[in-house]
Amino acid sequence: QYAPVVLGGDRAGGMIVRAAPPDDDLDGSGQAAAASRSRARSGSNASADQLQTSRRRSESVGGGAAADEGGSHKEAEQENDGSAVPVCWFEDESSGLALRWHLFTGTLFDLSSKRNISKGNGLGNGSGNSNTALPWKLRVHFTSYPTNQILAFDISGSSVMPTIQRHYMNSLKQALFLQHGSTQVAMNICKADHRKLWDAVVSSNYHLYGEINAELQADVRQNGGKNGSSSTDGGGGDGTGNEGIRNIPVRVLVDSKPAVQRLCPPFWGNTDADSAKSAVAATLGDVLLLFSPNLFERKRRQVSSSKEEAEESDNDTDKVDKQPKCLETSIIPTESLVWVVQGIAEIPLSFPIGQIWSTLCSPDHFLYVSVITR
Amino acid sequence: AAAAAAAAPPKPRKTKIHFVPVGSAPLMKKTKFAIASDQRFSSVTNFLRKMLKLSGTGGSLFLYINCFVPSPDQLVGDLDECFSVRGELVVHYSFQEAWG
Repeated sequence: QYAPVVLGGDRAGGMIVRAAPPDDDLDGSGQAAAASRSRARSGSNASADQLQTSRRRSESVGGGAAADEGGSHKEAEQENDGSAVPVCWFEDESSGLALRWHLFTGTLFDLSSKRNISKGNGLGNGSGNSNTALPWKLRVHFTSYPTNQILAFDISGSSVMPTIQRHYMNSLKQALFLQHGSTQVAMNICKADHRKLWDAVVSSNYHLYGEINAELQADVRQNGGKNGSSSTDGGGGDGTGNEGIRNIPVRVLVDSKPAVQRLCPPFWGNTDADSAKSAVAATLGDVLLLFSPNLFERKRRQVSSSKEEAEESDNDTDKVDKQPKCLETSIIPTESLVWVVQGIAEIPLSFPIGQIWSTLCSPDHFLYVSVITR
Repeated sequence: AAAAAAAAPPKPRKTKIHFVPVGSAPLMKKTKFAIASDQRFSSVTNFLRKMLKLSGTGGSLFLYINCFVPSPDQLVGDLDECFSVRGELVVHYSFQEAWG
């Protein structure tokens, strides 16, 4: 019933479109010639992706002049307001990696390799490390766009900022669907609010963002109110009013790999044998274990509560072993690594993910957890 | 159940995709396909472009799940888990932007 899709090429999850031939030695004078060289090469392959990439490069790099080369190409398209943002990309100087423009800057900073993160300290001031975390040194490039590392800009011909805006809105819509379990909230955002939200994000206008966001979150809080905050059924929740939420939008980023995004209900069935509750709030550790099972594991250990009693009352040695042993589980990393959320390193893995999400999620409503392996 | 799933080693999975045209986009003879879950969504886009014979042209094609466009680097398996309905991932496709 379902025909198998046979795909050529890279199965390793390489990013999008084939790379256009890189421009090597470009300075101001070489730009026009190089741009036309890549157009000529891509023309013979007849690949839409390569054509678009090289055309965009000539638009940004050479402006109108380069487009005249060969005579058969359209003039570079201008933004309506005349201020075209050139296609460029940023390199993290310490790692040499291209920065993924579709991720928030804070998340990218958390992932950058030169952060020397000590427990509880987000800024990185480890001794003996000559590279301090700030200022973060970036190099901006206008050529040799690395399509094998970062997403190419929209191939449908639109320009830089609208592409980024579209990406942000789509991410937000995904998160809203996960939160509410339906497309309704996302679909109901009117065009004016789309614009306001984006303007708020671009200008870091928290007040404006909060106005629109209040409506986006309204359903979640309403449901929380209807269900009440009673904790008798074990589903009383994490006390942040998240009772109405369907799934918590979380993305886990490990080093430079693309994000992992899986279903994260706020309450999970408890796997501990002797726990009375049927559902407990999902923790950060639960999420990391599910999203990155190679990097985390569940460790069970027996804890005898009678041990403490025996230590307290020295003379009552026959009290030992009368109390039942408890089974404690904790989630721990399987290798040396660090997890960071909004610059905060190593939030305890026992924290409810719902609380972390409601306080630390990004403007697209996703909580981004960065995991840096050493 | 989710925690139990985390303990199991990942096995090669396939995601069932159901392509649904929107607007002027043509209906294909075959609309249901199975794709390896470890592919990125860009593979789905490239596949559909080939099926619709758009590969060599600059023609625009928009793919939607629910009302959003997934990021090209998202795992098909993740999208399957988050957004599938009755075991299949419905992907709407259109030549114009359908949901702005």
